[in-house]
Amino acid sequence: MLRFLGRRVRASVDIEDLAQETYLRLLRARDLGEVRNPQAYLLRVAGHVLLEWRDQQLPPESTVLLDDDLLVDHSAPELELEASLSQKRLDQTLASLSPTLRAVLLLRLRDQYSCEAIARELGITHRQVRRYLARGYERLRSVLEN
Amino acid sequence: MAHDIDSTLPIPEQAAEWWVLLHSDEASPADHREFGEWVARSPERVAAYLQTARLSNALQSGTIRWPDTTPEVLIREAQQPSQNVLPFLPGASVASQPEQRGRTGLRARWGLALAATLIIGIGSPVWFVLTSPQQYKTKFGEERSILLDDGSRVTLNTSSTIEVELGKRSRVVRLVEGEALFDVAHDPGRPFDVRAGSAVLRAVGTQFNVDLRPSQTTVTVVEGRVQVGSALILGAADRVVITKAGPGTPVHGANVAAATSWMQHQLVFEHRPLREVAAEFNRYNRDKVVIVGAQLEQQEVTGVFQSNDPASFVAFLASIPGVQIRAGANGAHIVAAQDAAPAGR
Repeated sequence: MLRFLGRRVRASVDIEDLAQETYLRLLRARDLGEVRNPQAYLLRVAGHVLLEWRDQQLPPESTVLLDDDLLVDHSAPELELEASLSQKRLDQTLASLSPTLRAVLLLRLRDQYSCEAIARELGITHRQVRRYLARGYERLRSVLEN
Repeated sequence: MAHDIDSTLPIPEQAAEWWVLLHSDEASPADHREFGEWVARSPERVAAYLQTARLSNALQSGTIRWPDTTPEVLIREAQQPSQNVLPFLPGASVASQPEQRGRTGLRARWGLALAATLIIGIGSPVWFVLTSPQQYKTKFGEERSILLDDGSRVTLNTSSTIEVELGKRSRVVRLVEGEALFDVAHDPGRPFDVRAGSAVLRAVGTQFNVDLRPSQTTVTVVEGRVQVGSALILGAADRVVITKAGPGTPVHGANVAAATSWMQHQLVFEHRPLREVAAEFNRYNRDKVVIVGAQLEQQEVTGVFQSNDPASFVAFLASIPGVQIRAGANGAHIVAAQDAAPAGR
């Protein structure tokens, strides 16, 4: 894994700008159709854009062309976009959720249960677990501070 | 397409669904490919996905404090009926003891809890959840998709209203007016009932469309099975029209794409009389299309139109030989045969 992606980038990055630049680079990538894991590729491109913006000495665009591992494997690079959360809003939001939604979120995000384990414990389907999680992300978006 | 993600959802919700799917063990190579196609469509999608990534990172960063409720307690709370459950009508019979936790491992683990429920059940046999039904409405021309707490999704067409009651043992949705597409999460312990006019429909893990009109209700099954009333069972691509007299004879091979095309703002017509086509169009648009003359009303039309683009429909009508269109009051488009009397007959 490319460790440099793990470095924190200043918080003031505007997501819209980042998305715009990332999108343009995705469109320009010649081999996009061959990428097996577009989401890993997307995150990597975005990570590279962030780094370029952070310190200008990196040669633009040259080092993030398709690596072999992106073509063949399913590695998922972490995109370190710094974000701060309002603890108070997090507490309030969690308290307002239905018991099932709260259970799914905490078991997954806090206790690192797999989706399969959660489905088993709660007696619901995998698809429902995924829907609950997606819904949970939606509800928790309000706790992000910009 | 094992993991199709609902394209009618707002982009941020779709992004969250993709994030969850692609970070589970279930993502297939096809899912990855589809994500690539999905995200390549707009920078807005890239932004929504990055936003989800950012949230996920922040939640996993270890800098936040989670509630310290233990997993066991969380699971128990999720399994229990909600807290505003009241005992009701001692002496009435228990309709059906739910077997929804049918998996053996769970049953063993929850044996005690279940036993406790049964004991309480003897003292006060029927429980019900005291909640007023949750109402969802769409305005004229609006369309909206709602994710219910059980994981089911209901997409409401224009000017539609539903009332939802999710209980521990039943799920009831009343279609008060309009049209809705139901994508029902499978839960054998909690039947999903839709009431529309005089019709009662029961679904088990399925997708179906219900169109409620003043004189009749049309049910079209996309996948799975739906029970109509007490006897009739519909399968995929079956359609039945229900009137006050009860359900008619089901038709197999219904055009499912046409029945659910409104979700893409499309109106699909195959050999339908112009009168019906115009009425359908008028459901969505303030500027009404008025067809004048019996012969023109019965003229058959085949085509696909955007429901939110009245201009193209009017242009289509104008292209029919012998038809003329003039402006009426309130923005109406009067469609008449070229030699028809101006006032209409």
